Formats: sequence, structure tokens, C-alpha cells
Amino acid sequence: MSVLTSKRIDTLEDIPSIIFNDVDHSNNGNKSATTSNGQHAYDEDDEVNADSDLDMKSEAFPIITIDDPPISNVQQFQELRRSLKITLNPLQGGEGMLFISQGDEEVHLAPFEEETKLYPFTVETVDDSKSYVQYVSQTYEQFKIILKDNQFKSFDGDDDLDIGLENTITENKKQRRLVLQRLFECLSKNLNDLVLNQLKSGMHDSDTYKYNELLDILNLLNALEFGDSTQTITLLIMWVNRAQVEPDEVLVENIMNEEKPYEHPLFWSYLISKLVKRGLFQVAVDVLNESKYQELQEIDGKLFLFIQDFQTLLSNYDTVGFATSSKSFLQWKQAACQLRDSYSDVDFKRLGTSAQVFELVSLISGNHSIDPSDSWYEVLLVNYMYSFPSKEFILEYMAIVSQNFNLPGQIETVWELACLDLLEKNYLRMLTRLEMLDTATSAFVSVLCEAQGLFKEYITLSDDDSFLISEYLLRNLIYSCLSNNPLLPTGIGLTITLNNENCRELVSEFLPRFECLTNDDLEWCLSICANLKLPDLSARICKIQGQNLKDKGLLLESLLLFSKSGDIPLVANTCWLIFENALLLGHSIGDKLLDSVISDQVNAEDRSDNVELSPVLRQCISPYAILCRVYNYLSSGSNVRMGISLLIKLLRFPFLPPKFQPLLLAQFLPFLTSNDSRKAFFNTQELVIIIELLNEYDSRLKHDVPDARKSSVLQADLLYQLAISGDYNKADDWRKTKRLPQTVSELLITLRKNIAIQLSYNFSQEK
Amino acid sequence: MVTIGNAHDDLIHDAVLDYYGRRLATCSSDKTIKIFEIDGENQRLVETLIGHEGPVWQVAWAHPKFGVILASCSYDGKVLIWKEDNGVWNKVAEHSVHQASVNSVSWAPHEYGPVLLCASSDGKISIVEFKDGGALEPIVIQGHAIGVNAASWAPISLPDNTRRFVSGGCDNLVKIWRYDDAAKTFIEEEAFQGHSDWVRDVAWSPSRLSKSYIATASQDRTVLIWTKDGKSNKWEKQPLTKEKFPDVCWRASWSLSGNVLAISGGDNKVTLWKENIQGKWESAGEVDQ
Repeated sequence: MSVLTSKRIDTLEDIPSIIFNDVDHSNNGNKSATTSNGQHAYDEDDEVNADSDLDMKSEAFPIITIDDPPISNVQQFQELRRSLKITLNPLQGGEGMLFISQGDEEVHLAPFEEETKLYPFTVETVDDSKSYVQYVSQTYEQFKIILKDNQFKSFDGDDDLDIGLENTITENKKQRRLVLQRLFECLSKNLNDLVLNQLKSGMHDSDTYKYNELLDILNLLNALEFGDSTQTITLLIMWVNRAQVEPDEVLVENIMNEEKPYEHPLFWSYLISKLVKRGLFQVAVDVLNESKYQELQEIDGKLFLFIQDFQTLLSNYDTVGFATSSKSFLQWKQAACQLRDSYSDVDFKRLGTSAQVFELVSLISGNHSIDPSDSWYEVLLVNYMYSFPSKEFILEYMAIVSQNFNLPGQIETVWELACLDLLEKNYLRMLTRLEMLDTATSAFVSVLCEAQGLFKEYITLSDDDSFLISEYLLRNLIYSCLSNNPLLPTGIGLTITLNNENCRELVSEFLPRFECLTNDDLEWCLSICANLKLPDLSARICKIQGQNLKDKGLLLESLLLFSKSGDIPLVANTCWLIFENALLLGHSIGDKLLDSVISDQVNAEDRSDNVELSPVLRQCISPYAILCRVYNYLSSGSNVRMGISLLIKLLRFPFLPPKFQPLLLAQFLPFLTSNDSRKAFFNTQELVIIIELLNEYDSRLKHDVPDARKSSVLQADLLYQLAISGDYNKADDWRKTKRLPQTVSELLITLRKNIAIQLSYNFSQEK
Repeated sequence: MVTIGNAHDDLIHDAVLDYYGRRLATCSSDKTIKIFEIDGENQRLVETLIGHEGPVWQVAWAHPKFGVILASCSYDGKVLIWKEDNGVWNKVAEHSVHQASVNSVSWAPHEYGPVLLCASSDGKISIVEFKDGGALEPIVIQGHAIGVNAASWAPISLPDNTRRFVSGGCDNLVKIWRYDDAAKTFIEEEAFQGHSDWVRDVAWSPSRLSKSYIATASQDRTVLIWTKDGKSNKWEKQPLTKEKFPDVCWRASWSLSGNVLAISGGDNKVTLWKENIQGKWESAGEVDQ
């Protein structure tokens, strides 16, 4: 949750001390207008209703409070020269930890218990909700077409030096304008969907309020710069009515529930006045029809006709036609002026009502007297609609607004300030305010503004001419996306699309930090590496994801990725770790998928996922596969000789780490001990082989350098200790042997002694 | 992640998450370094490294391509290098060229290899490259009179790959150093005056996309932002705030992407800052206790 200030923090005193929970969520009472039948008068389907749904105001930047706070007394904290330090999470931009440290090493006082803790915090600098991630990624996909296209990076629409066929130039400009218009509509729609989704999910917070404010700014930007010129009046009307909903729903109901609504004291001065000032012509006409003013035909016929003419003028206001044809507007205005001027020539019976209607007729004829309840944007709209509806006069209308309102002094909301900037053509300041509300939206808007030529008056931000305003904001967007896992793919996509000179370095830095949750995520990462020709990065990602899968117990998948990374020592080490675990357990490690893959009893075709092992992996995992077969043969009793034979092969494997040899040799123990039935298990030749294996182990240790020998002996002892202290339930486990040797040395001696006994026994039998 | 209680027996001076955010290293006045494994909301103490003879000020993780390696620096004047192999932590190297407390350690951008930057109260800065087998090849330079409090690497600069770092010291100066191929050492490139008291921390933004940013935090209760455009040769100075902070500014940290600056100080607040499109610094948040 983050809330933003509407002004720059220049002094520390400006920093508000409120905490999130104090943000005012109260309803300010603004409601949507309704007609007499209780329906919303101008709510469009799927349009977010600005004030009725969201009433929070943006007043402060995010302040996070720590649970179980570490500092109870700030003064004491300062006297002890303590300092609060911070560390940020390298994966998530807004996460970090706080801890109490000390400034001067000379002054050291014993800490309190709460001063030796680590306090994690999260500042949600980026909204990571699903709907926001969708908004950013979807908008990025739509904007990709112009982000890739250099002709949209600047504007040459007013360039007098256009060379070429005039028709082609005109057509190109038209196409360009249509592309920008379409993208602007996409952006607005996506933003509107975002607000709707957040409202529907019930998860709306201050972020939702910000997006709502953004929509109000975008509406004006659309009306003034991007929308079709035939729609300017309509779009301005939409802007005002979406930004602040008037007239008040409760008041409307009260008025229209009267027996004769037109006689209600607020009917003309408030209800009709607001509808007329806000360009809600059809609603005004409908309300008049239901106001029972028709009875005036009998009471005051002249007033009835006056109102009827007024109603006709309202219904004749052509928002589309007047936007393009000044002639038709002037005709309409002339009619309005004639009606206004006729007022003084008529004797009305109902003077009060007629005076109120006259005020309204004066208003539409261009003589607007400002009411204290009018907002500055209503006054602007009134001037635009009824003085002369042309963008050329916007600055003049703004001058009138400024004479009557203390601007921007009395403005409290960011959207109003941004709209004011926009009307004053201060696009850079408007963008700054947009950026405070949302980095992504401001970046996309800046791209459109740049392409539309709105920044051509600005010198680029740096001395480097290629550094455009939109590029700056897009870079900021990349930063935000790369610091946030769900948005990281968009950040990577933007980096690649913009083809920045450091693109490969940035991707190399950030892609490995992406948390792959699915195979598709991993495939996406690897495809990025392939496209950018980054094989080392691909290998690194395979290793990272392999490690993640290993931590989750998905051994085969992790081995496949390690193998894919080409890191043979890593594959070998992991396979030996699996081997070690099996050796300690006394049976296979129980990973069904791995065991089924290594088992030669199961055909590859029968396996559900038909796993292909690389030659390296096949070679590295083979000792484990053989060990499993040894266990199978020995425990089933079906083919003990085969088990022994494989065990001997394993012991003779030249790459077997010496630390495993004692535990493998220990497998002979049950067959050499003094069990009568097994006394003659090994023939003399077999016993000689076992003696050779024991000698080989001794010999191998002797040939190792002293440090390696020491290490092997230590590791072998450690493994042996772990093995005999572990759980072993199988009846034929070698550790069930009576008088189990307690060390490797004891084991070797025991083996040799029993071999000697068996040799003697065999010798005596041969005699 | 929930609060980690009683992480150490004394004050904690640094806590750093590794490249993937999975391991947390902390160090303390209790002379130990602790390694925690982080898994979502949970954390588990996996190792306590003992080897320093004084308070341990800072720890730094090396880039993972060099293995699981951690550097630590201490009041005892030593920098120790620790390495994990198959779950076992060992001290693999010791760097003891300094005559006083080593206040900061930081690894160079990984493209330069396993190179460590150390700043000491003896006024010297050492740059150490670790060779195979733990051998060290140090470059030692006289940094700041009285002492060096902090030093921070510049991100790799394309296309020339010139190695630079910034240092801050007890002489109130901020200095930029550049590696000179001919002299085979780092030479002073800039010396900035701006602070009126000790410079407590310096941080060069890791951002690779736009201009260079250096944040310097000082005992004079100010934070200065030093910036340089791509083609400009001049560094511009801008105070982060018009008014001074309420107390000493101890630490300045950039976010990974280099666009958010965190400032912590002697008051009980940590503030987050972001530059707006007009180049002014705006508050992006505050962490209050």
C-alpha cells in the first residue's frame, strides 16, 4: 500500500507522521446523479464511477510501521549513539531489514534484548497485485509495436520540410495519429479494467485510488491531445463528470420525489444548473420532462413557452457537430441569445421561477455568473461549451478560471494539479505528477506524448541528445519491474525491446533472480538466453533452478537441469550425494521417479514422462544405479551372487571416492560373520578378491597426499559413524550384525579376521 | 519474513542477503558472523563463524560465480574470507594489511574477478584480488587523513571498463579513484568538498541505465547526491533535502536496480528517496519504528 503526496517534500517538517491505518477512507458524500426513476443518469457500463466507489485522498507517501518496535525511547537511543540501519533485499525492491547498530565504536554500552534483533519490513513501492501485473504486461505488449519503431520516438508532424507525395504524407500522418489514438484508448481501457478488477476483488486500497486519479488525468489528456476532434466536447464532458460526480444523488431524489419537482427551491438553481454546467443535456431534458413544469401552460403560459424553448435549446446542443462546425454552433448560440434577450420583453406571472430559468438561459448563451458551488473545471467546461467550443481558446478560458479561483493554491488532489499542468501545456510537470502516482502509466503516457510531439518544446533531459523524456521514464519502469519478481518478465521484455546498449548485461544481472514457478517460466528464461546468445547465463539459470528443485526434493528434475547446465562436477557431486544418502540408508533413497529412470526393469516406453538422460548424467548416476541393484539382489535373496558381483565391481570403480569404500566393504560383513549357514558363503577365490579390495583401500589411502589421506579417513569415519547411528530396520541390513564394529579401523580388522576364519574353514573343508 | 530474535549477543552492524536472497549474513559486536537460511517467512541459523577478535562491522557476499564466499571486516584490523563447501564453512583467507579497524568491505562488479575493496581507520584503502588457493595480491593506497569510513565500487562502465570506486573519510571529503593501467594502482580522480563533518557512508548507485549517482551520508546531518551525465565530465552536487536531517546520517543504500535510495540515521527513521523526472529527489517512503 502506498499513498503519495501531492507536493514535493522539501523539508523534513513536510514529512507527515501519519501511519497507513490513519488514511481517511470515509465517504465524502459525493454520489452519482440519478434520474427520477432512480437509475444512474450517466454511468457507462464498466466505467468506474470516480467518487462513489473510491473516496480516499492521497496525502502522504508510504510510512511503514514495524511490529514490536525496537526503539522505545528515541532520546535514550540518541544518547547511546545508536543508529538504525537498513539492508535492502537484492530480489525485491521494497523489502529489507532494520537493525540497531552503533555509531561510535569508542562508546559501547551493552544492548537491550530488542537491540539484537533483525526487523524485516516491506515498502510496497510497486503494486504487485495480479491485476496490476496484468495491467503493466498487457499494456507493454500493446505498446511494443511503437517502442520498437524509431519513427514513433519523435514527432515531425508539423515539419514544413516534408518531402514526398502529399497524399502519402497525409495518409502516413493519419495512420500515425490513429495508431496513437488506438494505443491511448488501450491504455485507458486497461487502467479502467485495473480499477474495476481491484474493486471487484475487494482488495482496493490507496493504489486503486491512485489509478482512479490517473484515469481522470488521462481523460483530459485524451480530450485535449489524443481524442478525435469531433469528440472533444464529449470527452471534456466525460472528464468532468467522471472526476467528480454531481449532482448529489440524495438531493436529486429529494427534489424529484416532490409532487411538483419544478417548484422545489433547488430544482432550477441546483439540479438543472448542475446538469447544464456539466453538459448532461439529455439528462436535463429528461428531468425537465418529469418535473411537471407542463402545468405552467395553464398557470403562466409565457413562462411555459420560455422553458420549452430552453429545453429545445438543450436538446439541440450537438456535442459532435459543434466540435467541428463553428457555423452550426453560432446558429445555436444565436438562438440562445435571442431567447435570453426576449426575457425582458415578457411579463411572467411566476417571477421567481422565471428569474431562475433566465439565469440558466444566460448561462448557455455565454453569460455565466460563477456560483460558489462551482468547481474550477465546471467553470472551464461551461466556458468551453457555451462561449466557443474550440481548443484555441482554452488558455483564455483558463484565464477566466484563474480570476475566480485561487489556483493552484486551493487544489488538494494530484489529478487536479496534473490537469491544470496539462491545460497550461506544462507536460513535463504533468508527467512528474503522473510518475508520482504510477511509474508504468507515466512511462506509457510519455511514449505517446513524445510520439504526438508534445515534448518538442523541451530540451532533452541530458546533454546526450539521444536521451528522451520517454526513455527516462521507460528506464524507471524497467528499474521498477526488475525489482519485482512478478513484473520481471515485463522488465526483461522492455529491456530487450528498447535494445539498450547494456541490454545483455542487464538481462544477465536480473534474469537469474527470476523465480521460476513453472516449466514455462524456465523455458521463457532459456529462450531469452538463446535469443540474446547468452549460453553462460543459460547454464547459470539451469544451475539455480536445479538447486531450487533439489531443495524441493525433486532430484531427477534437478539432475536434468544440472546436466543441461554442462557443469559436470556439479552433476557428479550431486550424484555422489545421492549415492551417499543411499549408502547411509541401506537402500535406495526412495525417489520414485529417479529410481524408475535408473531401473532397467522398467522400459523407457513405459515411463510416463519418458525422461532422456544425457550421457554425462547417465555416467554420473550409474554408481547409484548399481548400488540400488546391489541392495535389490541382496535383500530379495533371489540372486545374492549377482549382488556380490556388482558390489565388487562398484568397489573396483576407479572413480569411487575412497570415503565410500568402508561402507561398501561393510556390506560383506553379514556374509563373513559366524553364522553357520553362511560360513561357507564365499569360496577361497572370492575371499581373495575381498582381501584385494581391502588392500586396494589401504593402498589408495597410502598413495594419497597426506592432507587428502587425512581428509578421506576423516570423512570415511564420519560416514561410518553416521551409518551405524542411523535408523536401519531391514532384517538383512549389515548393521544388524552382532558385535558391530564401531569404527572403520575396527571394521577393517573384523573383516580381515573373518576372512581369515573363512579361509581356514574353506581350507579345512578342502582337506 | 518475521523478526529474527536474539540474532546476536550484542549490537548488529550489518545484515546482508546473498545474490538470490536465500542466505542472510549478519555480523555483530559479539565478534561473530551468523549465516541464516531464508525460506519465505522462515529462517534458520546454519552457521556461526568465529575468527575475528573485535566487533565485526561489515560482511559482503561475493558473486555466486566465485562460489559461496563471504568477506568480513572488523575492528581487529582484519578482513577474513569465508567459503562454504558442501555445507561446511571454512576461513579460506586472511587479509591483514591494515593497522586499525577495517570499516567497510565490498566486492567489485563480478566482471573484474574476485576483488575486494577495504576501507580502514588507518586512513588507507586496500584493494585485494583473490587468486586460486587463497593467495592475495593487495594494492594499498593512502585514502583519507585520520581514517576512511566507507568505500563503494562504481558499476562496470562500458565500453572502457575503467575500474572506479568512491570513498568517504574523516577529512570530510568524498574521493573518486580510478585504476591506472600504467601505474598499476588506483589514483585519485576527484576530491569533493561538500560535507562539514565526517563522511560516514558512500554508495555508488549500481544503475547501469542512466547517469552516475553517488550518495554520501555524513555526520553533518546531510546527504549529498553527486551526479554525472554520460557525456559530461563534471560531477554535480545536490543535497537530498533542503533542511538537515535531525541526526547523523549513518548509512546510504541503493536498491538493487539503483533507483531507490535508503537513508538511515541517528533518529529512529529510515527514509526512502527517488529522483523525479525533473531531477529532484522525492520521498518514496519512510520506515518508522
